[in-house]
Amino acid sequence: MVRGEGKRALVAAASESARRHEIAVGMRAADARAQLPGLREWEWSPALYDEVQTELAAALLAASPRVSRPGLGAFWLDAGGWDRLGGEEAFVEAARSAALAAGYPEARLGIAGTAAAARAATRLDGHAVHRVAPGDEARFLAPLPLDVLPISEDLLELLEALGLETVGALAALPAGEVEARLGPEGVQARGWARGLEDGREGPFGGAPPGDWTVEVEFPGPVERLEPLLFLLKSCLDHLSDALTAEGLCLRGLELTIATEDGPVRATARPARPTRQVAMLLSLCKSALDGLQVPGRALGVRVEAQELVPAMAEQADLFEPPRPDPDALATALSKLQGRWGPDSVVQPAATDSHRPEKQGRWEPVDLMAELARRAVLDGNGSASLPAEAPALVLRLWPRPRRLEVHIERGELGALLVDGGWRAVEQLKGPERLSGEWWEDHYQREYYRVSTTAGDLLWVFYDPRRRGWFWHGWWD
Amino acid sequence: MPRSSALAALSLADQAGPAGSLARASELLAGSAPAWPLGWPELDAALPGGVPRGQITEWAGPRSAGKTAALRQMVSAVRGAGAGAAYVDGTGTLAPAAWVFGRRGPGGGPGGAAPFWVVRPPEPLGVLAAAEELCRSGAFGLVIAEGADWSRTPVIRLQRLARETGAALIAVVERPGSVPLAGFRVQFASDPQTRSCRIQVRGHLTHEVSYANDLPYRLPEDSGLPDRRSPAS
Repeated sequence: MVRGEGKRALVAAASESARRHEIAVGMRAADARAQLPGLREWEWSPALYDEVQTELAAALLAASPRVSRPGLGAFWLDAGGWDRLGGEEAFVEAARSAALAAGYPEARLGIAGTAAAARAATRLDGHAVHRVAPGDEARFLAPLPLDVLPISEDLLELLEALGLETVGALAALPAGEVEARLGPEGVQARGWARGLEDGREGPFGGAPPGDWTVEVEFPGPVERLEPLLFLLKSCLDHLSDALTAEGLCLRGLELTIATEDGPVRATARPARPTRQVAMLLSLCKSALDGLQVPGRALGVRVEAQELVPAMAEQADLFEPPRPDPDALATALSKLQGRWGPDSVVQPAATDSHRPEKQGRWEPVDLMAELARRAVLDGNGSASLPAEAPALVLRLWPRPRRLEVHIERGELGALLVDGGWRAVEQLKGPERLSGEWWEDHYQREYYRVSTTAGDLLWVFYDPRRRGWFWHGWWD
Repeated sequence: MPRSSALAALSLADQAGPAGSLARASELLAGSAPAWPLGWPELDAALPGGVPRGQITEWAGPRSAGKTAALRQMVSAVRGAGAGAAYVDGTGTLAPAAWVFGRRGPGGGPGGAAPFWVVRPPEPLGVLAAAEELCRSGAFGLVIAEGADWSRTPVIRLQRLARETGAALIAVVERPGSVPLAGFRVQFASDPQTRSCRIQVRGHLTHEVSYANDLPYRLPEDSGLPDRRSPAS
């Protein structure tokens, strides 16, 4: 792979066979061509590279809840949590299977207690999988060349100039001498060489037991939503699998987007406990819609909250078929998430003489609704009363003040929708009053049929000395 | 699948012919109950057995023409059949008392455990967004949308969603012809003398159904008490 144009073009990556011919990353492309005639080269495409790496990261999320990328073509996977899923063998199988699914049959896997040892384990030729026994990291690293450690070129050259060739030689140097001559980077490298984990190389400090987070680092900073959603879905897939293995569902989800300007957080709450990926992804999408992400995204993290045991939904043979609870929960969560809990309601009866209080809207409680059972009536098909439907009263949210014409002491016409409507039929008054202890009302209601066909419900308020239009029948 | 089975399946498909008597899953769903009956024999006969599923039906008419009464009856019927119903009320004028169905529904009809949700978006623009979400969920056999501006919406997307999920989507409007791409147009008239429904299928008048609807009374017309007051001006 060649990056750049003309004389300034450099080798960005080289295959193993190219490296055997001493083609090295960073050398001028012209020199490489001269050194190896017939060299096949491709133009470096960061976008294509990021795309491929994103796909691989997504695939690897099937094997590990935490995936990050330390460098070209390499990933860190957190192998924690596999004890309950079949142990290290199962992890190896899952990781290799994920790499294979992403199109990397020759991927190498190193497993160790420290990141430096795991990284070095992937560099051993002839080993698709290399495991370093716990506590054996220093002994494993000792005979290996220094370039298996993630240290800078400058430090490597300095160590070689000092006559050091192996990691073991570095580990054997006195600490004070290393600090004095090689500085902080040298001290860090010596720590790795001695099998110490300082958390700076490798991103995982060891997840606590019962941790339900899944996170992934993007191959490069992401500006578009698509790669973010792609990896988010893989995170949710992993979380759902883990919840299924434990027989759990979640009540809430915290979504954190790591950006160049710091983390951005959002929460999603399904209407009922769930582990369904489609529903969770849909909720996360809604949460992302309302989120201001300040800079480019660097990674995403999801954390399951409020875990509860999964409940089986038992269908009733003698009951009409009912809608899918998950579909209901998805719709409810999205609508209530957008406009608040009072935006999706159900009617409930209340006892009051005041017309607008004869019934109330209650926010939908999905759990209560799912627990309800129907009264069996017939064979579950639509059956209907034979008579014509009764008109339904509709009410303005608040009665509207009304301009009227009084003719011969009676209501003659009303101003409705900007036009005068002559009254054809008038029934009333029906006097209602009450609630003197709270919000006293006094109304004289009339049912008005206009020549235009409106069936209106109006009242005269003697306390306010005015006419009001409360609603109509439809 | 064994190869012989696969070949047999392909052979069946060939026999079905190019016209395609093999149905997709969504068509099978719609085929099991292609329409929600209104229980109004004349109207159901004029429509294909009721309000068709998988399509948008325009429900047009002025105030007091009986649109809501017919919708309420249909909501009850749909819930009785085990399907969910949802009403997106962009006008905020739906009063809850009339929609309390109880376990046996109004008038002893089926109540059912299927949900009846009323969605009240805070702005008119939210009506179609809510209707889209409800259709997409696939959990509702009937979705009613009122108070939306249908001239400024990609109706084809809603139409596709309704078709995929088998939902009957009813667009309640005042003026007939306001909903583009509506498969059926049911037009209610509010003239007290000729209360009627006119049903159009894609612009062609197919049926006119008259119906009677008396003004309902909350109390007996004559309470027996003398009215000592005349309406004040």
